[in-house]
Amino acid sequence: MIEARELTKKFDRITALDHISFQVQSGSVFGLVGSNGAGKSTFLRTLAGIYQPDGGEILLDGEAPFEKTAVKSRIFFIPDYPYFLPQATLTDMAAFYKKLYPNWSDGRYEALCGMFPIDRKTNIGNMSKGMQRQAALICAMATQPDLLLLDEIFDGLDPVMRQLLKRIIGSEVADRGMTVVIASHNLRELEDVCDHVGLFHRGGVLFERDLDELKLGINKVQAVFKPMPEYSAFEGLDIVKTDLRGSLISLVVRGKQEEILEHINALHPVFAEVLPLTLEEVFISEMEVAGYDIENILK
Amino acid sequence: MTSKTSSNKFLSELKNTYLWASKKNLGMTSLLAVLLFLAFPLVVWFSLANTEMNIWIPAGEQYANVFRRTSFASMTFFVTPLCLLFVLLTAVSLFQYMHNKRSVDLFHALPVGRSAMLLGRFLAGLTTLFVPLLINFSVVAVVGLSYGIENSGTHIGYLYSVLLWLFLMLAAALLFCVLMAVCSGTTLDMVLSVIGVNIAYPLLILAVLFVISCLLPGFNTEHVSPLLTTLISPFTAVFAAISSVDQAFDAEKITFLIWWIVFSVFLAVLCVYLYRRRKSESAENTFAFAIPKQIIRFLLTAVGGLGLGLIFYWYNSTTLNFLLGLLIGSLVAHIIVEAVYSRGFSRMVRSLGGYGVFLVVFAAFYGIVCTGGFGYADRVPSVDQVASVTYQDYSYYDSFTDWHFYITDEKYNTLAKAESHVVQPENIEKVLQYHQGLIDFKKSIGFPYRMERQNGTLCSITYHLKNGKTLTRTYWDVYRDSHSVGLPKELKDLSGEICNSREYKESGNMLFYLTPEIVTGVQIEDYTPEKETTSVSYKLAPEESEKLLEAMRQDVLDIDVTQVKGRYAETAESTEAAEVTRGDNVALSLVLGEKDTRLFTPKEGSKLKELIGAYSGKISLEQGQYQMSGMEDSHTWAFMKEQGWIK
Repeated sequence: MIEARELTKKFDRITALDHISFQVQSGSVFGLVGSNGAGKSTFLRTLAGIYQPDGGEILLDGEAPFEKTAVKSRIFFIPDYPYFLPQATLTDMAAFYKKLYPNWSDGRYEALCGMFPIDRKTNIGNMSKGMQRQAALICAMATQPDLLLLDEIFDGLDPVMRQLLKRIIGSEVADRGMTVVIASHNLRELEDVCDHVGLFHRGGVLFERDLDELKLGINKVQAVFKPMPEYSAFEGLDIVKTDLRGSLISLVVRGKQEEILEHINALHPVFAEVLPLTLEEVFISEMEVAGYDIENILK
Repeated sequence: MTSKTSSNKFLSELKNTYLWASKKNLGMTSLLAVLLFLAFPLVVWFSLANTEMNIWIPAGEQYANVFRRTSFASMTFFVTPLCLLFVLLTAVSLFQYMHNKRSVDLFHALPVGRSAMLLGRFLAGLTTLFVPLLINFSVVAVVGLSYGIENSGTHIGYLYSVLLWLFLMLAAALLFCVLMAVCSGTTLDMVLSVIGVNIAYPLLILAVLFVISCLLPGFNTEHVSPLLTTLISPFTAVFAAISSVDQAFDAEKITFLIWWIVFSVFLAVLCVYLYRRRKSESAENTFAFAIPKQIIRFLLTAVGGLGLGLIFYWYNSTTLNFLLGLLIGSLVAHIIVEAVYSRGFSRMVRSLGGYGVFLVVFAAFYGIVCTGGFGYADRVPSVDQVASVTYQDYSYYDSFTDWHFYITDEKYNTLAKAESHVVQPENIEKVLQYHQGLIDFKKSIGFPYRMERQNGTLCSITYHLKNGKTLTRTYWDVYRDSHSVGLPKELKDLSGEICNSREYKESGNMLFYLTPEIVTGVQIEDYTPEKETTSVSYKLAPEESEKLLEAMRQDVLDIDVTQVKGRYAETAESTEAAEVTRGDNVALSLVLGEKDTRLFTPKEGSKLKELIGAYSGKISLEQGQYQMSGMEDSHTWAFMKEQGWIK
């Protein structure tokens, strides 16, 4: 289990992580979402033992990873721009990691090399961004980590490779109970692979929840009223966002679908429907609630 | 059990890092090996193969001389600079990963502790440097042995002594680079810092000593310890170490050795300590730790200031000129260093606090020195404290009244030095009186002291105190307003009295230490302008030697040192005016010891034997010529005529 307790990380005057606390259960796939500069990558680097916390702690099964080789040997981190040794081929990188990670599996490495269309003898530095990520993924999976940290891993991967990645992650989680934390802005992809998400904003965690619960707990209502009732008529609903256009009102509302629909129908709409939100819509709604001025940004 | 497990884990991480880093550096190791081969074994072999043989000297001795000379030159001018260049390249190659955010992501996420990562790479760096050196020095040894060099054990021993010194100093230099890598945020800053400190520190010390010697009467800069000038500068210390390899292990050399061992260990511990605390996110910033930057900026600011101050002072020797140059130089240096380290001027205003610190430190330093250095300039011991005084007045000197000589061993290494000194209380009193007079005189021409242009050494006084300590003061003849500031007559006369005293003359003059059997002959040179120059050698019987020595000693005692200069036609003007006498064209040299080697064994119980202490081998003395100018009425001249050596 990953546990962050009052975790704080500062870069000079900027507080990248501001007393964040939450947990990630073992064997889950946790998606980190948030605006640019929210602290997602900083969180991953702190969890990988690269950064030392300036306050609080981050624990993997009760142990802090910073300067703990035993803990770090269970973690593999693929950053947004993976680094490879100068002039190294995939074979060189495999030899490098093999000596350092006790769970390295040659069999797994061979199997992964068969899955990804990558030349082991080519200088990785000369490969495309997507191919470099594939190389990093092969090495990462071959170390058989207990915790895999992925930062913007979908960038540069073609749709087929994304599906392959999701499948591999799924099987690793199912077979070995691997925990995965993925930071990404690609919410569509996260929606497919994650079972939990955490929303980071300005160094804090707005929420972290089961994805299904999250999606079921927030709904989009579209209704047509003639005439439009007073706004006070909607009181009693936990409204996140309201958009009124003539006789059409669109609401983003927290709560159970049936209860929301019952409340709306009691106001005698001409038409009303409740739609589930995509993760992207949930993200935007929550960000707006947190003060993220999306309308102005998009203008 | 737990500690054993963690220790095994550390060693395993260290080994893995070391092997990987060594493999990565294999190309650089090979390149260094090849370059060293071209610069060292090949040069030595080429020199030995092309030795111009002299049939009168044994081949082994000639090869040994060439071997020694070429080895020393190659090691000093090729091997050491090449190794230092590779120290920097190796450090950059192995530690630049700290300065790149992406590579930090890789290496700091690995299950390898930072201590093991740093030390493993450091050991790989040592391997890169040491293996090629060891191979090439061994090749040189084999080449030397194959030519049958004389005293091969000594020469090969010398070679490996240099190698050991190189190992120590290169390890220190590499550790210094590692420290700068740990403290810097970028590789450029690391390289600049290494170069900056290693050049700035020795220059700063030399400049500070020079300024003190210009300001503070009596301050002695005749011998500056190499340890002081290279204390935190391994890149320059390595040259000091190499050049002193064949010197005996005296207290200074032992201190130098101990310092560099201790300092290297300290650097290693500091590197590991700081690296464990280094923030990964400091990669690509200018500095990971602020203090080194401030120290380096201070050093370079001070060097810039003192450097330009002394250049200004060189053109016009006034304190104002010096201070003006100092202010301009230090400010410019500070701005340049800050602009380079901060990549612009955005932090310039904030950095002026650092410049203020420099000004305060300099003001304190200058204030202390110009007011006498906490009593340094005024210190004169009491007569009760002084056991003896070694004294030299540089204005009173000629070949007969020489006040010092060196005794060397069979390899011409210095064993002892005899200097004119006084021990009799009345003479010590005179020295103290002279010294106090000199201090008062210096104060009378300006206090607080100001920068004075030096015009040669006036005198040097070394008190050997009864508590075993020494107190040395050296005074310069100062130059002001284009004129030498001469000493008052009473002080000059007092100095003359000391130098004319019998014990002063006897204690530092070689003639009073020689016994007749040592003087085996004489050589008389006659270079009368109209005739062909002649050089005739005469073998002497012991009784003849004794008479010659007696005559020369008597002449030394008879000479009034204050009138010595009058014996010589010193300038072109005076040469024309003065009448050239017979003695002006005659010089006498003593032949001491064996014919070829000039070595001899001093008699048991003799004064020479007393000077060399426990040393039991043969010795040699520096042998100069005795010019006979103005000595036509001397006992020596009379003896030479009596022997028929001169007509």
